Amino acid sequence: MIGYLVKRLSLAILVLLLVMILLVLLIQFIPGDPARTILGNHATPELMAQVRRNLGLDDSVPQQVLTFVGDALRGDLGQDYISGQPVTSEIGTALANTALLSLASIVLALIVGIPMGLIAAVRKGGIIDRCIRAFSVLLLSMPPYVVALLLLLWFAVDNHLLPALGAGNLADPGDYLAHLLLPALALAVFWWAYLARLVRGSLLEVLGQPYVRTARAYGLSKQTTLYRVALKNALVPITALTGLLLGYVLTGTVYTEVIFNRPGIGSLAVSAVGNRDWPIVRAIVLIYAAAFILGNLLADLAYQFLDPRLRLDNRTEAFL
Amino acid sequence: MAVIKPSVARDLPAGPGAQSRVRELLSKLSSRPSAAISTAVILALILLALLAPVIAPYDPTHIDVYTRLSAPSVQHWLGTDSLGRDNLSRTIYGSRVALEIALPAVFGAFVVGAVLGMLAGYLRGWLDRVLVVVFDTLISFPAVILGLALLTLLGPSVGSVIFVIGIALVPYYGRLVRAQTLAQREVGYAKTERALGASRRRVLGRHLFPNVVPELLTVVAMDVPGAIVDEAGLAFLGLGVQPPTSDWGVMLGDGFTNIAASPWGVVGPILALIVLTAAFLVLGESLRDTLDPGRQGKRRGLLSRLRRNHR
Repeated sequence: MIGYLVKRLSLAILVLLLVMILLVLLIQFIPGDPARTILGNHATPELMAQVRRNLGLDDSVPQQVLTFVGDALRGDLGQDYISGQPVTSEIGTALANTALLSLASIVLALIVGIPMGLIAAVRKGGIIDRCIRAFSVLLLSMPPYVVALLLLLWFAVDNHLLPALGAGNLADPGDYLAHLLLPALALAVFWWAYLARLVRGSLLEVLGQPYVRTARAYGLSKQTTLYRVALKNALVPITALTGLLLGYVLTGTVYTEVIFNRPGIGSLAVSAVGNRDWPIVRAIVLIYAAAFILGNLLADLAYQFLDPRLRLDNRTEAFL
Repeated sequence: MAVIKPSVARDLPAGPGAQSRVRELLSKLSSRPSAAISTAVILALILLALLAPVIAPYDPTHIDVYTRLSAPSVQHWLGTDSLGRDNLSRTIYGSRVALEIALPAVFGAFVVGAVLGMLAGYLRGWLDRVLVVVFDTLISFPAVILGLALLTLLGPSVGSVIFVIGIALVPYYGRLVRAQTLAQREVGYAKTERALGASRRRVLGRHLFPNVVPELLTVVAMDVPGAIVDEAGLAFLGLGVQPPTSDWGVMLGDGFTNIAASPWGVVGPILALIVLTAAFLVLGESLRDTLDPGRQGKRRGLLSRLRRNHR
């Protein structure tokens, strides 16, 4: 276990490092002068020189990598050359909004999706089971921005039931949560259908196992067997999906923040791409990648921890 | 004892025949109604793209400001957009742009991923290690996020959107093909060939390629709707295909801007995206159930597909 931990952790750090190197190198591969690409054809030579200096393009490539990685480790992600502010201060509150949105949608996905799967499996052929089967293809076929647009239409444009624009006031939790609900829902709906199907299938598989029958034969009640024995085992393979869920949610934040006009790093990145504001884009892409790497690391470790069988052949797993 | 010459090796039969398996699969598939319906829907969408000029009631770029943002009517079944262009015609033409971008992106990515994956899996050694780490690095970016970075530097154009979507898929195909190659490499016929002195190129080209690639192609085809969803998403954000192209994402963007005035602008592309994805989803599940009926095919299939689409 310790060996696996060290190996997996060092792989994550290596990949994060490579992500940073890639982000520095990316600008080198672009044909033409990056400063000209960013500023357009009418830039003055002074401005171009300033951008080049700002991005560290006058240094050698290894020097640029060292500067970027070193600065990032100290929490400095460079300077926005449009406003002249440090990137971290521009991202600050936006990052909090996006993190809360991601967290809220993951929680919403899990607390609805797993019970749905549980009920569907226990009441196989019942209403919930049939509803899920009927609607799941529809729900699974909707891209996150489509769900967000439909929610916006139903709840905000037609009925004005929920606030649809902005992130609300963080000092007023009620207001903030009301603003959070629709965007979080937009990212969770897909996972309700997905998790419900997965948990149902996984649970039905576990319920057919001999050890579940044994537990019942030993006199454990139906409830105890279901929750303490079957559900626990059925959820283990679901852990491996955490990374997947995270990837979906992180990508989804970009769309939902734009659609619900939330100030977050996703919507900030979109406007920064439009402005060709590379320092901001680079920093946000790095944050997304780091969150994704960290999430996958935690998911892998949890899976490894929860399923002892995997510990045996982790030598091959670690590198695949 | 005479040494067996490579010319003898040439007479060995290649691995299990792919053609008979395809025929068997097709006959099994045709007995499933869901597979037949989803295939029909997909073919209809392809026909729609091919015959867009014949089917579409209007020129998708024809501007008529007097009927802007109108609701559905006998003349305009899905209403008109902010410049009075016919939403139905634009949706029909949108399928062309979607396929023009998604097909080269997905299959281009597969060619690159397959070559890299086979080299890594067959040659092993340092090349394998380097490629695995490169794949891991690229996979650390959710596709659209990597797209944001690349599009800042490349600028929006059809070519850069194809590149951006393709490059996010390369590591998945690379890993997939690498794993398959590693498995096939140790199968009897490949070992025998090597023992008989066949060259690397021969083993890769004559034996591993025909056994690894065709089965993966069905998996790869299932990534087309995901690529279309990403393409439309980037265009919706204003970072992909640009107006005035009749693209589903561009239409969603225009419809979203004017959503308070008229909700009809987003209906066409939303329906198109849902129907397309659903058809591929259902077909994919039928395919998987047919391929391995015993093994909870549904769950595994969905899982692996999502892995590629949403990272």
